[in-house]
Amino acid sequence: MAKHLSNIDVALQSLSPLVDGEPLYKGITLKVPHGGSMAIMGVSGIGKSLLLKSILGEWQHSGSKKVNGKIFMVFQDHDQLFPWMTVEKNLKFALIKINQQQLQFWGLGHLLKLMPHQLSVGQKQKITLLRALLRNEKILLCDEPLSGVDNISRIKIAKEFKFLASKIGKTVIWVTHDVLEAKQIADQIMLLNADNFQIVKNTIGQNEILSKIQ
Amino acid sequence: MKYYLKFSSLFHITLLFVFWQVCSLWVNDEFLLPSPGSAIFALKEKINEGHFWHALISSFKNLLLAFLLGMTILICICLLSTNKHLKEFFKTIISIFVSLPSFAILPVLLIIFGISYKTMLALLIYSMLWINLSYAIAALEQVSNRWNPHVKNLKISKLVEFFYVVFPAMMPALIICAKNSWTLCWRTLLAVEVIFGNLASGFGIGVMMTMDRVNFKVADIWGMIILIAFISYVISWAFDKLLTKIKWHNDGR
Repeated sequence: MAKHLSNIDVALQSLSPLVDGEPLYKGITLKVPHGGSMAIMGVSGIGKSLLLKSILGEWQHSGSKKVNGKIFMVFQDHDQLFPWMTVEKNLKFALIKINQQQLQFWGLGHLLKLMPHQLSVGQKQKITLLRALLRNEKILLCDEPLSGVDNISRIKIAKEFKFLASKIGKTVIWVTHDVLEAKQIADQIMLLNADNFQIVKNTIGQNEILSKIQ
Repeated sequence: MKYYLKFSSLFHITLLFVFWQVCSLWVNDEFLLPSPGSAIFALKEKINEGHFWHALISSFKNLLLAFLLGMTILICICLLSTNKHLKEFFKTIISIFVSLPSFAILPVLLIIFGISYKTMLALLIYSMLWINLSYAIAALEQVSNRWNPHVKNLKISKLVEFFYVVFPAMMPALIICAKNSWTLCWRTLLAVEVIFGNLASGFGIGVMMTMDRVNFKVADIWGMIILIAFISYVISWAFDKLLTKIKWHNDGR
């Protein structure tokens, strides 16, 4: 049992972000094991981003949380790279060693000398996600990082991200609106509603997932 | 349209000269309002005089010193303003002094330094500092709000944050501050030179204008005004060009 608990990177017990001192929704209880991934889905304004901020420790919440390791956050903002630095300098500034193999895998090798304003939104987000993967924090909280990326690229990036995250052994909590993206990224999907939440496997059908979100 | 935009400034300047010429013909008195031709001829004659370059260099030397000192103070205060408490302190100080014109503190400076070079230098720095500091601190707040979550995420030190994030992010704002500082310094310097003559500032352009006024050389004064406007225009253009060099600033940000 003790061995099982030590394998858990993020454990939430009846946790809900507080807004004006009141819990935003019924407390959430979940466990994400080391190297595991959880997608969080719900309608706009339900408080998915506040949940991530609560896990990060930047928002007041009810209930309890146990985080086993350092956290790195990937924001929704498409301009997370410093625009006055090249892609290479951005990666180096984030204190990471650039692994040529990983860059090749993501088709980013040719972008190293470019400035962020010369990249597409998809390329920028790919580099932002790669930066998050290559840093040494073991838990990644991703707040809709692919929301502005076109559908085809989004699924492709999600698939590649999942492959690398599993390979490196990152624990990922990923907020999204997109069912396909959630299924690509996560082992489990949490469907968040105002008065309840459900955790389902990623093998469940698209329509069934949508029907469970109110 | 493309050519108009490219040469619009030239067109506007030509228009201004035509207007001046029309007014001059209407006044019909070379003493009250000399024609642009007379002013340009007088300027050409003045440039050939030995005193002119000496005066120009003297004015620029003073200007450059005040400008560099002022910008250094401005950047130092920005660095200190990354501290929340110091920022509030500076904001209070700025709101007090920004509305106090530089010439309003002249009596105090005269008591402290007398009619001297130091008074002029203090006046120039004062004239440029507060309004630009107010702009720079507003830019600093904007930059901090924009990049703080990312900097916190990357877990970098405050010093690294200032030099690698805040300072480059503020660069466009600092160039605009430098441009405004230059303009305010230039204006104040000429005012000081015209008022105090060479007592405080040495033999500068403003002193030359005062001497021309004493000798009733009206066309020479207008010639000098053309020169001052031309220098202002060139420097302003150079700062604008410098701003366009910051490519990331001009590409959708």
